Amino acid sequence: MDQPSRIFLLFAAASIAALPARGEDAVMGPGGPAPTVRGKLYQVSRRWEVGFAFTTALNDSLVDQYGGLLSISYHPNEWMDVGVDLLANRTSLSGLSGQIRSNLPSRANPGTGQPNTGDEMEGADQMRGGALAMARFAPIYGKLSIAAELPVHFQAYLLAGAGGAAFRHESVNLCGAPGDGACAPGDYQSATSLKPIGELGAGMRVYLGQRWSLRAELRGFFYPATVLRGADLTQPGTGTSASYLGTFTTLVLGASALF
Amino acid sequence: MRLLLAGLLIAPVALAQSDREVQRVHVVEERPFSEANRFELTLFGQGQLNPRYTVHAGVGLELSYHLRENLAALIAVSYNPIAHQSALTEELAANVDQQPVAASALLLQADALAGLELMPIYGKISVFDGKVLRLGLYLNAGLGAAKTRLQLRPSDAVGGRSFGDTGFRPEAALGIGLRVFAGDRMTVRLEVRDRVYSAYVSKVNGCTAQDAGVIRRNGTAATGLTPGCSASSFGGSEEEIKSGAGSAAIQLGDPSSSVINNIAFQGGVSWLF
Repeated sequence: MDQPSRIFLLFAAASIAALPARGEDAVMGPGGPAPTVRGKLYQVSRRWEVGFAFTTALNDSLVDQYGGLLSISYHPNEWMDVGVDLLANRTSLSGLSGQIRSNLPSRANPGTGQPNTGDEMEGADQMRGGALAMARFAPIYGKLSIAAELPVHFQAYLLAGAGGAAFRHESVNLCGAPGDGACAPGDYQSATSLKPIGELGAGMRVYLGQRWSLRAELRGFFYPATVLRGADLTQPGTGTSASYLGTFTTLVLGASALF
Repeated sequence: MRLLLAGLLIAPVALAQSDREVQRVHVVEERPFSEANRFELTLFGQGQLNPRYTVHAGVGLELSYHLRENLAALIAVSYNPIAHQSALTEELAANVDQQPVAASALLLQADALAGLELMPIYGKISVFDGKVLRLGLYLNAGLGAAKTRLQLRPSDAVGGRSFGDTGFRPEAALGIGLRVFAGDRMTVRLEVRDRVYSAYVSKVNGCTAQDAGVIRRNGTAATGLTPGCSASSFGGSEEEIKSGAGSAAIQLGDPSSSVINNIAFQGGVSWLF
């Protein structure tokens, strides 16, 4: 029996050596095998992510909202993850709302005693908590070199989600107690409700290692909101309900762990 | 003894091996192109990010000269065709008879700046692991002047919104941004720029609070106005003049000053030449 030639042995050795590399490649990319990412140090395919972040509302003039966000998601590939967001907020009316309340016009005409009518101020909804199904789409992976020595790997992404949220609505200018006198601080019209809510956002993940990363996001939330128009300022429960799209933006800063 | 001798002989070899393992190697990759000694002309679209009392949106043009790879001198102008009070401000007036002090609601109609840009951080991005693009993170700062105005009538007034000129104010700006090089000539820029301008409001259309009060009462027949103040600057008709001057008289009646931070997001494309 002839001995195998050196070329054959070299080819066999090279083929065996290439097997693990192809095995690693096979987990990459959304549609099966893909070439190894050049310089992509941190990879997230087929990993779970648990993140916690602090949130603060940015452009709610009438409401202050601070809270926490717990995110649990799964990365089926490098470009996408799907999961749930759980939000809990500490909310209150802002200082501006307090200034507005301290200068409200009288509820009835002082000369004639006739009740005045008015519209409710928009944008006073306080989101106390919510749960959303969420998907993140991360097409951009990058690397920054700080002071030419410290390489920082990051990923930029867009996100969208939908779910439900608990709201407390406390009117800034409509009193919940009948009468024509000034409204006491705890007497303004208020209600709680559960509403559908959606979110759109963009963010950036900075990798600290294979497991930990820091996240910064801007998220815009939108939900169906209502206010009262043409309400009798001396009689709670009057006026007609008008719908509008409520929105608020939050800054999200936190950390994530990949498993 | 032989073991000790062998150990002494082997130790430097082992140390050398260890040193080789941790030796740092700086790989120098030649940049495909350089922006040094080149001009860059950028067209921006911009929108205000902190619209509590005001809303601004517009366009900007910036010409910069890259003195070095990471340092540039720049001049920039911007114009906001959309510069008016926010929905909250108009709602305050309509629903609770309140309004912010004039200085807090001063509008930025246009501005011009000169300054410097520093780009200390470079990096690369890949989209879907495809083409690799260079990017730079930059900071800029500038000084200039802001053209300001004050809204006199709300959007639901007869004839719509009207504005009064409040002149030029000194302005400073600080920005942080990202420049993505789409090629050796074209870049895409994303930037957040904080324009800080003084907002002392004492005259509208050259008229003091007293002038505005006289015009509100007498319309075009007003007399004894300070030089530079004209009733016709408040509108075309007698009704517009009186309502505009009335609003100016109310807003000027309570003198106010402030330093306004107008924070805008700017996105643009630029051409290097």
